[in-house]
Amino acid sequence: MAVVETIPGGASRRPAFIRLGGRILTVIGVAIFVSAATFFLLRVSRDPVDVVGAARGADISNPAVRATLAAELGTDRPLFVQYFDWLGNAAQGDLGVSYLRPDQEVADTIIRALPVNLELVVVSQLIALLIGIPMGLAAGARAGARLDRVLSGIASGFVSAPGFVVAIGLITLFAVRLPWFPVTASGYVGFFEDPWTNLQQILLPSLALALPMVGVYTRVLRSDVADTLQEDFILMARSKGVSTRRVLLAHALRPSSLSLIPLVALQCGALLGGSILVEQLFAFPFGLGTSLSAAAISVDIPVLLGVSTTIAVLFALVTLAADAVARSVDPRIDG
Amino acid sequence: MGDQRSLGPVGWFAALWLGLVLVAAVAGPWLPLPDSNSQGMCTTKQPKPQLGSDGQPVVRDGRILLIAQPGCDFQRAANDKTAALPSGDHLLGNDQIGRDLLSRLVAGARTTVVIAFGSMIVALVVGGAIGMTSAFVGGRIDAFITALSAGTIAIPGIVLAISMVAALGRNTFAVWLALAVTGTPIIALVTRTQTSSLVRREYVTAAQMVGARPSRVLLREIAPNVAPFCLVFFGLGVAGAIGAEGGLAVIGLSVQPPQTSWGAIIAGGRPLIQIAPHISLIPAAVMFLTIWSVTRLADFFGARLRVRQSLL
Repeated sequence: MAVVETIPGGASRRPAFIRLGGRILTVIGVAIFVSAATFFLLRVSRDPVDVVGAARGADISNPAVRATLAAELGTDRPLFVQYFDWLGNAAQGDLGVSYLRPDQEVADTIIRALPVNLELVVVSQLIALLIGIPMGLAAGARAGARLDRVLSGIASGFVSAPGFVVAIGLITLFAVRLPWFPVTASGYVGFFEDPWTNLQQILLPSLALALPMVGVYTRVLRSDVADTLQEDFILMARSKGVSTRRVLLAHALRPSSLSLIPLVALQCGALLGGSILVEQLFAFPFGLGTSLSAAAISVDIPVLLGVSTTIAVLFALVTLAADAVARSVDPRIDG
Repeated sequence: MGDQRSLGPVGWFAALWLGLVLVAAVAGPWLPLPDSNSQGMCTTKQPKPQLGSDGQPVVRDGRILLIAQPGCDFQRAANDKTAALPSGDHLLGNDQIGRDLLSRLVAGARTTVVIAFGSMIVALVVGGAIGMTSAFVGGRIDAFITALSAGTIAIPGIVLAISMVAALGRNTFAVWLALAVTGTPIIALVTRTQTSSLVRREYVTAAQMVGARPSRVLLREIAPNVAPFCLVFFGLGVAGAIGAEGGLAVIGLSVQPPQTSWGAIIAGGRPLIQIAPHISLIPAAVMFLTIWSVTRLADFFGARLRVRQSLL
């Protein structure tokens, strides 16, 4: 993202707190960029008075009615003033109220939705890594062999499948043909209320999100492991009589995990996006995606703005965390 | 992944399928198919009963309850077994209101292909031009464009696309523009990286030394060597755009009736998945095959390109 500067020798590395400060500034930058883009895009093309007026059944052709409504919503002020007003409030955790349900704070909607998305991201990442790492290791261990070709073929199939397409297949197989799982998650209960029911509801959506990632992880790990196995230290380990299993797990997987960590973080962003669609297909009663798609259809600008910015900030934070982890694992990373 | 010099049977299958989809998209209106919007007789397989919370069929008034649907009456179709069977008239059956599913798929192919290819062509031209110029000019402008592109990519594309469609309305143009805008920075970055590896090459310096104008150097010396790489990413972009359009359609943010797209057909069949899973399953399979084919072909040409580049 930022311009990478490599300083030879690493002696003049910038202190950690300055680096961290820069990263936090990046997150703030992303928040401002996304919120400003969303705000001006929506507000220039849509007048909130039309949206709210139509929803309330007000006579929006009457200029007087429009003026009162605009004053009530605060949209009679200049756009820039409104945006900085929103930004100032957002910095204090106040994201405004929904246009269509004025009793609903946007921040509350997001806080209610977050556990669903957090659970989807964590469970699907776990599934993806649990399937993807063994697949990648097995394929990379004997690159070019029959097993590698089969596993690589499966992986490239998974990569092509968008989560919602996988979801349709999974629902048909494991909820309709074999009635093992519920067809929808419309009766979603939190994990801490009823773990068993919760896991039943969350498993198919998570699997739908995980399978495309399995493809990505398998492919990356496969080529990485295949490359690493050509290195001299592997030959050294083998000639010392280290077993194949140990060579793979202890010598080949460790260096390969360096490329896997940033990838896992990157996939979290794709997951947040993908979970929007999977939430919709599984009819989750709440969730960031459920809120976002409902708000997009009804042009509920405060909700759209709040949720979009939240997703972008979450993604930026995940990237930041992954960067920190990658740094602590590999001290060679500089800058 | 196998021999990289020839397409192989799998590659040919991918090419064939993609060709089929393109033909369907172009020739759709002239194909001998039932009208994609006429609500004919329902010929779906016998529906399954609605299940209660205990997993048993819900019985009301001594009859097993089936989910009633507008138009195509699945309840009647179930009772009248002759109408419930698939027939030669409807090869893939009907959708939830009795429209021929094959006709719907062909009509949807048109929307999907127009949006996916159309948006990526714009992304390719605009992003390619931006990326090439950026790397060629260098300095602050380059740093700014790179940061802007990278910043845009840092936002999940679907979030950006959702806001754009919400702002511009649910129509082909809005979806097309939203996908073009989300695709452009990716192509720009790829082109920039590729170009910056070329600007210091001898033949570029040679052209500059004989006094060629910058525009000529860009178009005649650099562009021909960057274009193949951009085409590979164009292919991957098309695959992504097909999925993205489908995703937008699933949340009701793509084209509106009477127009349809694969994603819209999937979403339309979703509430009926217990009675008539084919309505969602067939377009999902079609969409998967198409995305897989495009990715496969792009991967193949990418691999061939790397071989050729390494020889340069």
